[in-house]
Amino acid sequence: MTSAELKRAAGLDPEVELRPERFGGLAYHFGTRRLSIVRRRGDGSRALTDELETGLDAPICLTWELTYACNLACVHCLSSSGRRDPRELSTAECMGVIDELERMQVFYVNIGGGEPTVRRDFWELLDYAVAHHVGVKFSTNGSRITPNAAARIAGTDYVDVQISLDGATAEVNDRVRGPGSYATAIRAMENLAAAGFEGFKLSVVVTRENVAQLDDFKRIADRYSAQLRLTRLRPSGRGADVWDELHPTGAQQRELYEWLLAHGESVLTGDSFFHLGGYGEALPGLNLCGAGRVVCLIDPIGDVYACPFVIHDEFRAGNVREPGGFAAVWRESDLFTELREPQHAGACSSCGLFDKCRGGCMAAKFFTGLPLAGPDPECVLGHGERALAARGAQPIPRPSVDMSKKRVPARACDESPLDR
Amino acid sequence: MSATPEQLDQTAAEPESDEEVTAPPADEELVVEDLLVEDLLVEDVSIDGMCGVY
Repeated sequence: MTSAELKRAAGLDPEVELRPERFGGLAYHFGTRRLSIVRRRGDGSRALTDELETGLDAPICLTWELTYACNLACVHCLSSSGRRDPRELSTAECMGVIDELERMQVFYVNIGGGEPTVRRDFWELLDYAVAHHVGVKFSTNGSRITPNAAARIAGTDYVDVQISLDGATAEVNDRVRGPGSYATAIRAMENLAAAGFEGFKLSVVVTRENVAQLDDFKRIADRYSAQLRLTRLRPSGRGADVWDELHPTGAQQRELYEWLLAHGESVLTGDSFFHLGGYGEALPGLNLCGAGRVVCLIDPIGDVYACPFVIHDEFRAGNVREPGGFAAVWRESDLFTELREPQHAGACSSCGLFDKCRGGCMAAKFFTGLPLAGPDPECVLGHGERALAARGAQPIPRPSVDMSKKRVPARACDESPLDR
Repeated sequence: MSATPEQLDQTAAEPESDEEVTAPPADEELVVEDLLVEDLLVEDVSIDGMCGVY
């Protein structure tokens, strides 16, 4: 009997999914997207973050990049997307993964890419996931959110969509996401609003160029009855090439923190700014790095990484095509087992703010060449900046995957073929 | 201390009527509920994708 059948038989709310864990259990409400963590009171003396950092039987949610194909070429793309990988999981394989996620009671998946809607079976997979009690939130540049697609989304329970926009004006946005991408995103939001879909997400990567536009982003979201979602720029994928020039300055980080604090839970953050907790009061959310502990990434060819921002062999835990599938990777891989062990704070161990920022983002450290046991490059006390200055000449890791579209030279011999 | 087979027989005795099984006294229900609430700690968080995607 499936969980849904049991709930129906017992007269329980079908919108709430329950999952036992070693410390008690998790209850996820699909309607409000809130997670309740239930523990025995005696075990409650342990901090919740400590409990979660030792791992769960299954992810709370996971990111699934369905394809590396994309019609845009954003300069900060976390997965260096552009071209489709011919080894992409087939429709049947994707359905097999969804079956497994249902068995493991993964509450929902964040679908991204690439541009996931360019997959011909995208809508089929979305319907299949929902029918199998795996909620879906997908991220799109909006190019395929036509009036028909918007009506379809609005009519499907447990599906959420986030439209990416990285500037509140075309000038700022299109410098990062490409010419015409602002107008495309706005049109998609108009279509969703016209279809009556309230509460979809307007998703913004905060950069040095758009941090002054936070109020404008909020106004745009409000105009379409959407919810603003701000996330942190990481030096992942092509983001590594632009991080130095686009990541917010120290003063901008402080401004962002104050803005987020003032807006509370009305603005979502994907829990991605927990490194700012060192400024004072913690921001809403779990405030921990969930990589390999409560979340992970499945990439288009089925490789499983600790999180969507560390597509590098060092953080590859396995592949869903291997015997045992995704569950074996999640529960038994050496990498995830290691990540669930107590981590060393390293240079941060003597810092009084460590309990607030937890050392920051693993991906941000890794792709800037900083040790994982040490400060985040954007540490609010400036330790990261000093560590960056003292890095020396050692090579900085590059992503293991690059599906960027190749630049076509204007004339045959404009570039040496040996350099490609 | 484990129960003897005789004790187990007594505890497993058939109820006198269906009502005993389906409708325990109201006071007993309250006690059970209180114990459960007292024993559990519920913490609510909004998770929004846990970093998720851009």
